[in-house]
Amino acid sequence: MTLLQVLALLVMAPLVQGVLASMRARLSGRPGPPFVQPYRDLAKFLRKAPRAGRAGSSLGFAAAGFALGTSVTILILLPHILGDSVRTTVLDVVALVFLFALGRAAMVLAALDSNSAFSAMAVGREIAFAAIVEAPFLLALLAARSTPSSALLAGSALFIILLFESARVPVDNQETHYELTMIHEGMLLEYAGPVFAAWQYSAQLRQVAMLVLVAFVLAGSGLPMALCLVAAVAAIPFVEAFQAKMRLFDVPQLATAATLLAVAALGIDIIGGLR
Amino acid sequence: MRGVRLLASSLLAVVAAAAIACAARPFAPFIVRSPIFARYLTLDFVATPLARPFLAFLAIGVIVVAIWNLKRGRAGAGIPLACFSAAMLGVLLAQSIFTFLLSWELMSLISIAVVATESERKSVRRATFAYALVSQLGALAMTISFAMLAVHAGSGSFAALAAAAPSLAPALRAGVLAGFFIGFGSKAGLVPLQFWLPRAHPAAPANASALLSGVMIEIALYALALGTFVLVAPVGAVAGIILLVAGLAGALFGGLYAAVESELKRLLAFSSIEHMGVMVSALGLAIAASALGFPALATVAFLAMLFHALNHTVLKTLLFLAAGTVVERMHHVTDLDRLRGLASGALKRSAPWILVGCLAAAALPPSNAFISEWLVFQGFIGATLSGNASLASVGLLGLFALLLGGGLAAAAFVKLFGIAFAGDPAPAQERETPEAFDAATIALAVAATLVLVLGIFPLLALHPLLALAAGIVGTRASSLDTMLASSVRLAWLAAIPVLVALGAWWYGRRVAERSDPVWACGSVLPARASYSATALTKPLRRIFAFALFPERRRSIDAATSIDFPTQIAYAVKTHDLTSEAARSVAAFAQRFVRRLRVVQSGRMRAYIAYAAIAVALALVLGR
Repeated sequence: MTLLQVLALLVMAPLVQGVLASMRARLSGRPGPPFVQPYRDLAKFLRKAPRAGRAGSSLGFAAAGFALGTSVTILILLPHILGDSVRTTVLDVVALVFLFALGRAAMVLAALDSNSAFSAMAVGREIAFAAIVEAPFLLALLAARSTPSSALLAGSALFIILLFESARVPVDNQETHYELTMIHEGMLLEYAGPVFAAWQYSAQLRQVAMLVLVAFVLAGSGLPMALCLVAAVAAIPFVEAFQAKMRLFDVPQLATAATLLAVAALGIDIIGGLR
Repeated sequence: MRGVRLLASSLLAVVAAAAIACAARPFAPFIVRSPIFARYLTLDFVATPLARPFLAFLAIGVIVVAIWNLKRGRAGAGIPLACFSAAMLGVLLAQSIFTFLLSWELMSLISIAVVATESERKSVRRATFAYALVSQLGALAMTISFAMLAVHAGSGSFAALAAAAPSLAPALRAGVLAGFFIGFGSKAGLVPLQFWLPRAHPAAPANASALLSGVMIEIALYALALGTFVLVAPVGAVAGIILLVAGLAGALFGGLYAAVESELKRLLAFSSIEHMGVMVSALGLAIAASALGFPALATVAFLAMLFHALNHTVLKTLLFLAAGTVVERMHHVTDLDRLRGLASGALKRSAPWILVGCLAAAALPPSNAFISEWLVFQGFIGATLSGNASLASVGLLGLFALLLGGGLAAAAFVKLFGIAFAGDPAPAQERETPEAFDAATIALAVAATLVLVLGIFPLLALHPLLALAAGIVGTRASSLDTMLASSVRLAWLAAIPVLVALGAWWYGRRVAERSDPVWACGSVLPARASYSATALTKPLRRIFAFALFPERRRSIDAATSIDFPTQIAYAVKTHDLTSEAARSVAAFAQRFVRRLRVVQSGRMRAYIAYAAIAVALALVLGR
């Protein structure tokens, strides 16, 4: 079951990315790329010559592999979408949060190793935002237990964290390449070829994992969870198309909102569980 | 020179061996009775179950320092360090108030002397003064507490104090605990008594910093556990929650300041405050949980504290010694803004081990600190789910603070390695002789191996520690065994990443690499234009401006034209409230003391009068 789901997610991750890009473009009145564009992009990157940070250092290669490995491990730890009694399976949320952090640490080190000041600028933003969304991330996952109200609050918190994690619009913009504002793309500026493909693919896997987690927190398991997954995918392009990118130093307010939602969700759980 | 090094390291090794011997097998109490006041002035040493893990931690830290000392550091520096370690050994073995205070003061005084080693620098003199002041005030507070306990029990031995503890009046118990928190907490770097620590620990030479930050604060943790679980037991939930909140404040404070700090050794000292905060909050949780009737939860928290103390000893010894290697190889440059590319330059051999240390300090898998932080989180999650209102609310608070502090600490260590070690080395490093695989590197390798072994096979340490924790605080519930079993699986989380990384590394070595200049909008940047640690943390300083009070000083030497300045100086400073508060308290104290100086008139008659008054008072009051 786990194996099947991991394989399905591994195959579907670029498709989700393609659907998101295409829907966003259509909502803003452009024809947009086809759904399968990310597969074509990955295939193109794989054919090109590798370029990983600075010459003479294999750290960039190793870090890309390491990050890809953490993404795959995250997929293994995810709850089952179509299985039953998911709420009783042991989902080690602490390990999950630390794995996300581990993948990010590999990426940040690789970006700093590439000697690029633009990458370092992006790293500064990435580590600042990562530090402030870590707390709501775990709290929201912990709240994924009891009442519908806490599930809704935790799901909204996790959706905001998804926007951080997968570089979506109010936080970051995947469609621009303007060095002074970008975060995720900025860190990978010095990477090309198969190594770049590894970075992009690993980011797509993390995005799918976050979507599964949002659906899990909202609905728990089975068909409702699958429906929530579709709804979460559909919601992202709307946010991206109708929302302007926030000023960089307004973004922490979004993290504060996520924290408040997560604390409220867990608070409801705690009050419900008092003896 | 070699002889002195060898002597110093063997002295350290002797202390470590003694610590291991005491930890491994119980020995009969070693007692020296004084001819007068035998009830109080007795030297009494024995290794209690609570002290035994800390004896092992002491031994590990001291051994790593001894190996490093064979190659680096001042040749004679090991000898005072051996005395320092012996004093710490004395604290752990002490079983009476007199022995404990004697060893504690020896430990404090030797460490103050060690911090003052480079006293020709003004910053070191100031740090020493702050440390000495806090240390002696703390000693005063704990002496008062011990005096109250001794009067209550009518004896100075710890066994008698523990036996008499249940009958302590609540007010007296609270007073004693307050003294202990001030005395032991100031040594442990608990907020708000931590302001001396980020000054004093980095001011010492690296091998001394390793023992101060890697071992001495764990001794302070032992003293806190001793005070709360033995000498004044049972301690109420309120005291536990106070300790817990102070620990959380430390985790937040340490993480935040480590994240924005640009001086290597100060960053490590702030990280010590963060890790200490994690341990003290776990201790507080253990106290609160056992007072509120959750023995299994208390055992988890206590176990997490013990294991994190072990892990912190290993990782902080490793990182401070690494900082010492940086100091020697880079000619006393420890400013992260001026270090770059050490992993491919001056510290090629040490860098992989330092990366392991940074991973551990950031508590990421597969390091040992990840497992212990995971256990701490299990404790706090258990508290939120316990169904008890006060435990659940501190559990929620704890999860939030530990995650935020931990996230910031992770940012700090990613910054440390990413800025100072990754990237191209500065041209000056090319001229240095390549680093040899010497004793200093071996010391780092030993500590890093220990980090990984404890991270991958945590049960090696967790099983013995669990037996101790269960004996001291609570029960050995079956839920604990399942928790430990799942902690083993955690270690293998990093297995797939490591395998894929090895494959990618091999692929990277195989394919031809081009060397293109990095993208800089079409221009080629010189090496000194590389990004600095201060710039990297600008977003953090801005987000946390409400706590950091960042202050920017920029001076432009405009020479002839404002558009083409000849020189720009730029400095960033952050403030912390506890230091400012301490400074104003010190200023007030100095003004007050200056007034009191009238009594020191310098006339003999006045002093004779004082003595007569003192004797009269003693006669009247002691009647």
